[in-house]
Amino acid sequence: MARYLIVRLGLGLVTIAGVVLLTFVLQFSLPGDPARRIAGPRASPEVLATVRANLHLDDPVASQLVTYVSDVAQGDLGVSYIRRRPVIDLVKERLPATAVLAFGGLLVEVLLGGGLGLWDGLRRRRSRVLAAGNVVLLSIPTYSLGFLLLVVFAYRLDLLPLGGGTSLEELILPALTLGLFGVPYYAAVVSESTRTALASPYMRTAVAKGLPRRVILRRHVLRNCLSPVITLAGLDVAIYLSGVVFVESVFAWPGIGQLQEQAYNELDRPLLMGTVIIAAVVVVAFNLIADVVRVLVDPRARVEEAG
Amino acid sequence: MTPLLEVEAVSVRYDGFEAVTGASLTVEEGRTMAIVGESGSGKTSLALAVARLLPPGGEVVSGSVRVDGVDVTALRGADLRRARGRLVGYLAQDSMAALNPVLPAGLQVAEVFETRDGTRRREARHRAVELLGQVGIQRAGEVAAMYPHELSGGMRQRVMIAMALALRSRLLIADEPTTALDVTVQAEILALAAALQADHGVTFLWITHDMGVVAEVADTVAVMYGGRIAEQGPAGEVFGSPAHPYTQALLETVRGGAEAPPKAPFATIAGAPPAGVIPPGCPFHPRCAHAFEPCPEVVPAMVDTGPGHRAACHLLGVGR
Repeated sequence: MARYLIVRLGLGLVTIAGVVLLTFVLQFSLPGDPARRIAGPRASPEVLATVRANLHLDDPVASQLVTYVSDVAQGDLGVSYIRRRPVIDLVKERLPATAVLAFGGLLVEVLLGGGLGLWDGLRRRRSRVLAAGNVVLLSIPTYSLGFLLLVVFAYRLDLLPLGGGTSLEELILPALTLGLFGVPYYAAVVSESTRTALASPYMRTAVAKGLPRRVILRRHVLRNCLSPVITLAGLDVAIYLSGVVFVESVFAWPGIGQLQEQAYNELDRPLLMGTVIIAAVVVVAFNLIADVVRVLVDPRARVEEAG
Repeated sequence: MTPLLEVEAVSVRYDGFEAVTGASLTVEEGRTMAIVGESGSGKTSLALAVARLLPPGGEVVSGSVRVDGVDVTALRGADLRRARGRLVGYLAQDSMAALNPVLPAGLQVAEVFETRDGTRRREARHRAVELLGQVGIQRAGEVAAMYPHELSGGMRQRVMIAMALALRSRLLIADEPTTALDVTVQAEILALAAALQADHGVTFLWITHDMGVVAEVADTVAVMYGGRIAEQGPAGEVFGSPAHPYTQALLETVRGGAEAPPKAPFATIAGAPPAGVIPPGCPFHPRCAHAFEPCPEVVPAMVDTGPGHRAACHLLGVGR
């Protein structure tokens, strides 16, 4: 287990290093002169030159890369051009809102998707209604579903607020939007795991033992659905925590995704690059966490991954 | 002796395909009957029908199964669940697949006490460890905490047997439980089964295609072919004077191996067992060396050939 963790940690660091390198390269494709964005359109050539020097913009690319990587390694993601504040502070401010939305979305998809999957898995035949619903959900673009929910529930029916804040009422629609997209995946995975468990020889053993239905369901069916759900949830938490741009922008949810969108619109290089790198770190970290939890829950994984 | 298991004219059907046709047999309490046959002979379907474990789509379409006087084919719902395990236990062939991979071995034994007898968790665990010790597992406390994949095949089969002991099943169906084990472990498990029978009076219905196992465990034997019982009787009778050409051919394949000179080709039965469609008349007639006029058309009736020894063959009817 320790060796496995070290290997995974190493691979995670390589992934993050790759993302850092990639963001560094991609920034050169962004339009505009960073120095002018900071100093303003009326800045004198002298001021521009000072700014360029401060940002090491005139250094050779290789030395810029070294400076950038060593800054990032020390947790310094630079200062936002527009907001004049360290990127890391801006992200920290937005993190709570994003975390609330992420766990709201996760709750919706695990409960709704998992529940539907279990229901489907226990049926003799798969539900066509669920299959059709899954196709519909998989086909709708995020912002369409978000706007649809907004129009129906907030505007027409006036049941819920239009958004802009982080209250519980304001959380419902964005969390639902986020979670609904996960529902088909969880429903499919849980339905399949349930079917596999029900058709397995160990289920025959459990039935032959005369175990009550609730024990069979809880101990012998649900336990076996846990492992794939944890894998899915680990991926989702990571993606959601790194900011969901569309959902946050549709509902004006003040999270990291909204920050990313603004950074993009404002061509705020450090902020854009910083949020991408943080996203990479979060994804790598939660993949690792999900794997560890999965190994704790599913003893078979220990053998597979020991080698 | 009273019969513990009475199977009467049972037919099992899967979506139109008849896997077992009119099978009747009885097993005395505390004895072992072996059901012998090739793959597709219907022996497993018959066993699953007795255990009420037929997969969806499979059902007993006629006949009755009585275990300890209870008609198990008529049990429904909660009655069926309560009867499961108590009346009939099931030892599967593949112990790796038959144990839940994500639960510790001890828990899978202990849950019987917990859910059926209402035993408290700690007490149930304690009794499970005790049973694991009884079936010959060393350091049972440690093994109880281990997962199926961490155990050897022999140990897993012992866990399955401990489970059956926890259930105190009257009838234990052993569906080739030793097939996947190597010879020495197989011998240990067979010895354990014999000890259980001596100590607890367990009745066994032993499904196998291994004549060596039959010779070891069986008091009585039923030979199945094409969904029908071809011959049944006391093991000594069936082995000593097989009445059905299929039984004779089956024994030939084994004896040929033992008595033939080294490197002589194995004796085999020409042709293949029926797959999908069972031939009309006697199901064995296409492969039978002695087939004559009635065989392809008329299903032979069971004829007594000795004390408790019966076979279904037209040759017996004409007074050979």
